[in-house]
Amino acid sequence: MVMLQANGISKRFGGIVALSNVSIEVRENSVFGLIGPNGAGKTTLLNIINGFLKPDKGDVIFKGVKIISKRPSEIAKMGIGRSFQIPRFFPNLSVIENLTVTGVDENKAKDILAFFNLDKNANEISKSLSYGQKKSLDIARALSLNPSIMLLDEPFAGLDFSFMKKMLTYIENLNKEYKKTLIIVEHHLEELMSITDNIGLMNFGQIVAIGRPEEIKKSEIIKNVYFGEI
Amino acid sequence: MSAFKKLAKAGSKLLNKNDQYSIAGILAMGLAFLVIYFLLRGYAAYILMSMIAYILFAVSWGLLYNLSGQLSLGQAMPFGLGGFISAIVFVVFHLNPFLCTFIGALGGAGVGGSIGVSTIRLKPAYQGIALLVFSQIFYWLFLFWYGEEGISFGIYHGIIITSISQIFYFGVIILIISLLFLYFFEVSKLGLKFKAIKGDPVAAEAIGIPVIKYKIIIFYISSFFAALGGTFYVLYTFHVDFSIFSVSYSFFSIAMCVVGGPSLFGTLSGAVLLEFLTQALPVYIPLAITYLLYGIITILILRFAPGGIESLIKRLLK
Repeated sequence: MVMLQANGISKRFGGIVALSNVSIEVRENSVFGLIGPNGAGKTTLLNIINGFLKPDKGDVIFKGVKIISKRPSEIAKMGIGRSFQIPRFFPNLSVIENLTVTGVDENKAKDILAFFNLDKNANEISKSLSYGQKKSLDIARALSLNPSIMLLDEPFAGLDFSFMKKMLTYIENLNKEYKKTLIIVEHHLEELMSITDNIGLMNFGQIVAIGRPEEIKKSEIIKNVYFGEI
Repeated sequence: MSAFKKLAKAGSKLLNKNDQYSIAGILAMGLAFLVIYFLLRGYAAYILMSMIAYILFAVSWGLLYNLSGQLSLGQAMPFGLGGFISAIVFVVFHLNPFLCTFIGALGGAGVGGSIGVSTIRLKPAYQGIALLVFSQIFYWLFLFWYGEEGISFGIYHGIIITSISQIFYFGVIILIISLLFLYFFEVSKLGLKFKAIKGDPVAAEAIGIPVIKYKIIIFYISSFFAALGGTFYVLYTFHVDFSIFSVSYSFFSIAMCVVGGPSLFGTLSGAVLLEFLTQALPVYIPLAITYLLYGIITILILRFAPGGIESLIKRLLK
């Protein structure tokens, strides 16, 4: 069953075409990866899906409902969670308050913190966490909404190798244990390809290839996009 | 078991230790005001009533900034509107002055809040300047409408409308009720959402908090308490004029929050300290030295305890 569809999305910022006729389809309980060089339009697409930006053209349909005219807060309540490339959280609140503010009860919040190995930091002020923990908290906060689908923007960015492995495990389990459908924007292709069912390759605001990770990996187009014509 | 013990037991089940201490603190402050009033009366009563007005005024600014990250440099606008509306309602309709206080507070919240709401999409610095400009527009409008003498309303048909004691008791009651409301508002789930908005409005929107709607709500609540402070200020002075919209009034509320600290009790302590300095010291020392002390205290607090008196106390307790 298709959970989320983006149909013919176009977006311009002044004279710059950020997205041009982009369409993707994400099936329930699948992991969809979005890759592409900087400026390809990946984060813009996430921002349109969760309502932070309105497209010039196109529609986003979530569980059969058009969501393009809705506010981000309404979209979040409908079941679309979001984490950010640079972790966003509430620095003035404790770690557990960052989760309970979504309305989740304290026991459930503690379970989620334990899942991300943050349970020992529950009562600390969140701004005192390490960078990796802040990234985990950002995703934990999105999970506490109990969304149907989670949009993860570069979850591995800025992490050292050991934390990246941990993050990979968390994300795998979000899909397997928590049964969350995921859209992941990422530059770490090896890690991403190990956990995704489908990958969309973006360049200059367009989807230039879409398919299974192994197909994308073998295709010439990925080399062209990242390294230019060889 | 006595009824009091039963009540205390039921209360301890509903409230945690922090809540109990906070309620006790607020009630103790009200009691302290009453004791000081009975012992000293006279000018002390004026200082205490002045403190009540400024506590309400300062917490209104703190509510806006500390709970939602919005900046007002023109908080004198709802403060003055509340004062003027209550005075106009009394002079025109001759209603009970205490009723006029509530009408003034609601009117000030309605007009001041609505004007403030028009600025919520601005970045804090621009919002602050826009509100400062609005407060100055009212300064000139009320100077134009009511002249330099403003409105005096203490005597109606040769009879003093109410006694200082009645006004004082009324002030203590509205102060205690307001502080209890604001305390429970701050520690409630709703208060947590407002703190989240201040922490990161984008992340708040991403977890389903309608940021704009919440900012509108907090603006009206803040304007209500500023206007309530303004109406009480006008009630005990029996007078209001255009100077109530002065820039210095707006900055008093900010200084009280900065000196006291971001929490409700921090702001409260800042308002009490600075209003005491402003009102009591000129009796003993020249006014210029009072203002000099006022400035030195503010600078020292900013330099050595940026979190205000509140952070200083926390540091000492550790």
